[in-house]
Amino acid sequence: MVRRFGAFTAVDGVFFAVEKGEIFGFLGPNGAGKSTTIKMLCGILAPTSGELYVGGVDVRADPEEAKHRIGYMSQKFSLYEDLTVWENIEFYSGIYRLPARSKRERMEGMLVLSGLEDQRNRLAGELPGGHKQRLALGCALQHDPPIVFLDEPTAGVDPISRRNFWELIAKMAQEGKTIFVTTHYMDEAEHCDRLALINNGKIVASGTPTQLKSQQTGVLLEVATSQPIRAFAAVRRELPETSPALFGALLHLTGLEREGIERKLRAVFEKELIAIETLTPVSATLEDVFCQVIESSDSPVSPGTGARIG
Amino acid sequence: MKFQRIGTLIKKEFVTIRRDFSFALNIFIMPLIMLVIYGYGIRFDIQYLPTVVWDLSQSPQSRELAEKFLASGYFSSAGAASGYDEIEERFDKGEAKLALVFPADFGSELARGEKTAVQILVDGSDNNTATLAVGYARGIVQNYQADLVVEKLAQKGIRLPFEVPVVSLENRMWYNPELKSIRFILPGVIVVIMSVMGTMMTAMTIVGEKERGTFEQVAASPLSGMEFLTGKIVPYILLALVDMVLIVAAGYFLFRVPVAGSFALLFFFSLLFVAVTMGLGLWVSSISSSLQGAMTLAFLVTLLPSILLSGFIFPIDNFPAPLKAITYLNPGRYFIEALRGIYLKGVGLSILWPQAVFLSLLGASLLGITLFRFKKRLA
Repeated sequence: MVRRFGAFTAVDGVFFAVEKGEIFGFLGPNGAGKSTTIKMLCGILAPTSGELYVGGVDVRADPEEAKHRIGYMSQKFSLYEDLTVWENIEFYSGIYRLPARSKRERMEGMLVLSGLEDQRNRLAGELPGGHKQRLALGCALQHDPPIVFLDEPTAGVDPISRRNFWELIAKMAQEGKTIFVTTHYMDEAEHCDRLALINNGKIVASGTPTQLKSQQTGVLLEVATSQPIRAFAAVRRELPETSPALFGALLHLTGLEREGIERKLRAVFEKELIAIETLTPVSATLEDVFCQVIESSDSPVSPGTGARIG
Repeated sequence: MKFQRIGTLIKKEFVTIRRDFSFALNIFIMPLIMLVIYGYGIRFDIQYLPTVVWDLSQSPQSRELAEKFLASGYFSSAGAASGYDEIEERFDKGEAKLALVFPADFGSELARGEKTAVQILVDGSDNNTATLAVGYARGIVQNYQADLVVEKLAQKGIRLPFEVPVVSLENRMWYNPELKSIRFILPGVIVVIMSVMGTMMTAMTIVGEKERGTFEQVAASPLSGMEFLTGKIVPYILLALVDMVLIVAAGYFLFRVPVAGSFALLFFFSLLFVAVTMGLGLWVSSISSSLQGAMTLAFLVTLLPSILLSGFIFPIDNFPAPLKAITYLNPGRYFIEALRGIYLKGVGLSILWPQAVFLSLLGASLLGITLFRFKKRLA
């Protein structure tokens, strides 16, 4: 699918399929086209061209039917802040036309899922961030959709709420729901069954976390130096082809073979008077893959323009 | 269209309105404030215009004429003056708008049956009032003169050997016998309030959902664009009609303006006009992305046409042709004509059907265009 906003192409020929019951992670820097993709899949934004099927339903042809099968949680809290927790749940139970028989039970269930049983009469706008997220999830899941879209669900949420939230996601996947989630956090990406990396509106890499990590060509070197910040700046300037990234106080570099990089690195550091403390080959983390892929797809002389998933 | 979904939206909207105190205040207090401001503020008639008298003649005749001025109800006494300087000073201070100057020989000349004059000075800085004041003054002087002639003839016991043809002008102001401008203004005020409130409320409620992002969540639900708009608008149609009832009641109790015609017809036209303002509001909301922008645009497209181009204050008959042509597209024009017909003349649909037709056409096309735009944008 393709989506243009005037002259700007936000999503540029993205193609992928997600299996039933999968947790599918959609990764990419800000402005890469993640939210635009999700919005098109949820029928909020019409694609400029392309085809979208959600749960076997053509989103463009029958948006109402498609929307019955999905639950959507937006990046920004988008429930009514001037309604109470209970009123928000009630509102969406009406919008999704839950059957009167099971409605009350279902609503109470969502209140429990949100962990807000004792806050039902509080205005949604007064809730702390983590509770807002859970309420948003509760409202989006009331009609028990088989497919759930989560757009950066844990942005701005404390670590404990984040962990709880991912436990919930894992539970939903176990129940057979298909989860499509965008995130910035690499530890969250590790929880996904499959990942797609998107940059500048194009998918640049995809696969399971293990595949992606092993797909990394060449070696990954971890360097401890006396002055990590200066070292990072110097490598970035002198050896941009090594896709340097800073992990805490450690510098990660990639290249085809160890000796070549090491030689160039020592030359640069000698000039800058930086001492190398340790230099060890390590196995790639997702973050390494992410940085490498994004940087190589950003540079105009990138060797391969990235894979597409089917 | 699923009524359960629409009902859910309507219910939610009312909960929100009830919770938003300032908004509720806007809906009910704003119209009343506007009514009071316009109702008391705009006057085309003059009443008790402060008048000073400089009476050099100090005669029974001069006192009699001055008395007639004050008794007319158009002028009130602002005391006596003793010179042009003083009159000018009183004018400057705004204490007087009109001055009557009786020359020293006013009484004696009249008594002798000779020609004399009385001078009227008017503060012309308020052109409208000045013109009216001179008109009323002329009328009073002419009546006084006629009385004098009759009196004189009777005194002398003269009977003319022939009949003198006399044409007297008898004017009757139909529909508004006392020429109270509030009767004329109230329908205009209704149009202004209804179009501002209707358009603004609709635009604000929809743009508000866009700006706060709540629309995004709703858009991901099976709720259709049509259902969304219906559910959002219905509460405001009801509120606009409540506003209408409020203004009609306030017009009656505060300003003693009764409705000559049928309430049902009044209600029918209000409903038509509300549909038009909602269409306008939807259009505003379809092209603005911020509440601030929506509010400005709503004011612009409602306030100016409903005050300047509706015939509220300036008669459309006096407009130059191009401007006149534009007023045919102004829904406020038809509503004001209908309201004046119903309020003042008590006429029915047999007379007002063109207004009904034009309002329906404007409303239908506005709603049609915006709904189409809305639908196209969504999916």
